[in-house]
Amino acid sequence: MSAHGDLPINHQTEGTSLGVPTIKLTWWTFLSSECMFFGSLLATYFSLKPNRVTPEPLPIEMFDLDLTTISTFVLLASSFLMVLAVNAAADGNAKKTRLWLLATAFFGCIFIGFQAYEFTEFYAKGLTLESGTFGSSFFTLTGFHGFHVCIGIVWLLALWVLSFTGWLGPERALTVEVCGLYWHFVDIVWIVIFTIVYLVEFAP
Amino acid sequence: MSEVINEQDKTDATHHEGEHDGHSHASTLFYTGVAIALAIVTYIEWAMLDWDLGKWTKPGLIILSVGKFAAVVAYFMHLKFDAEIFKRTFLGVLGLAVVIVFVVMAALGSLPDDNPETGRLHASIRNCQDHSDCGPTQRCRPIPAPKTAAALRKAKGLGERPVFSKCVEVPKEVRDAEGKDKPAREGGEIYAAVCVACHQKDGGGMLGPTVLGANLASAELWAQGDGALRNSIVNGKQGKIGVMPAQAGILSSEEIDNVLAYIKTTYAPK
Repeated sequence: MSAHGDLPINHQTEGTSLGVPTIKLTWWTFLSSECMFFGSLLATYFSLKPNRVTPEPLPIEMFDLDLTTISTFVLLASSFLMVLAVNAAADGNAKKTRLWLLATAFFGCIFIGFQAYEFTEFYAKGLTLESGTFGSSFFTLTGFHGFHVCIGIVWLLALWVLSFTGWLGPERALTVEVCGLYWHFVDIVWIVIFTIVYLVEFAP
Repeated sequence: MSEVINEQDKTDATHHEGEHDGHSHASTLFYTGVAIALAIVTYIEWAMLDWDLGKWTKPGLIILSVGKFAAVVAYFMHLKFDAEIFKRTFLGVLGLAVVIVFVVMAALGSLPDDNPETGRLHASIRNCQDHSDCGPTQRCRPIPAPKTAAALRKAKGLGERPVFSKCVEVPKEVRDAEGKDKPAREGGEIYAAVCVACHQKDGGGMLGPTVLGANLASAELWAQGDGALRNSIVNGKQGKIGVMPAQAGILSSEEIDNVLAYIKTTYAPK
């Protein structure tokens, strides 16, 4: 905690009495609450999915595993690009930071494209928010995940735009890192959804 | 890669002091390695549905998923090398979230259960064996093969029985029509077991030194009327060369009706 005094005054890197930047602690706390949020959605999905009070398509009739596996690769790749952006920002390399931020947002958009295609297909096959408990809980869970990805894309693009104004200097490295934490969190939520919602459905 | 980690351990101390010096992140090479490992594990997850792991498939998938989750949190999110307070905050609440998920599911009785009596996942959703598994207005129907190469190959490995089937609501007209077909369908099974040796698969009969199987497609035969034909099946018949053995005592009255329904719908001249 003694190192605290040597740092330049900066609202971002200013440590708390715990010796860590406030903004990071705030975001880790927020992401922890997000675990509760997605945990409740997953519990709801698994509780409601078997209660077939209305005839609606089954998960195995709907899911296209090959497609979802590709979109999972895309989201994992975007996480890797985000790491490169955070690294570049930490090194004070504005040009590379800008490049990797845009690339991450681009891959995020591809993922959302896959999800939009999937949702459209499901609706065409009769699985909707109103078709039954599987439809409503599935779209709520994956829809909220997609919504989080969209927020992340807006955040990444905002940082990308701001980088042209000189706002995203080396002193803002923590801003990029926090954005990275959020983006990786969205990725780990998908890692869980991909396995226990999609893959396990096809396991004997 | 271990060198990178050692380097991280060294910088770890500065993190504890709350310093963010911008050089605490591992090398690009290290992160590339993590990313490649994540991609390989994802590929294995997709491919292992095709491996014959039986009941170990689900635990295997979940273990791999937890590994991926841990790798992203530890390395990409940098938690392994970051301040203790972040680890405690995130992992503590994550653990609590997992417990709550299981408590909610247990309370609602929706934990997976292999017991077919209580396992709602099995009883209500998938893999009905026949119509008796379904409701009175439903029928058990195969589901078109899922759109994955793995599942398709698995379906082939299991022969003709579809991997997945489900109970679907069926209109009354369709159910009635199926009810009408039932005697002929069952009669077909009996024909294949009892009659086919002499009368042949095409109903054309067989001429031999001692046995004559009548041609079931001949107009002459059907001119006798259903009653006479039924009588021939029940009591047997002495033909010009061979003998039709009596089926009374071998087949029940209902089974004889069914066989008659089968040969009538299949072979009788229209």
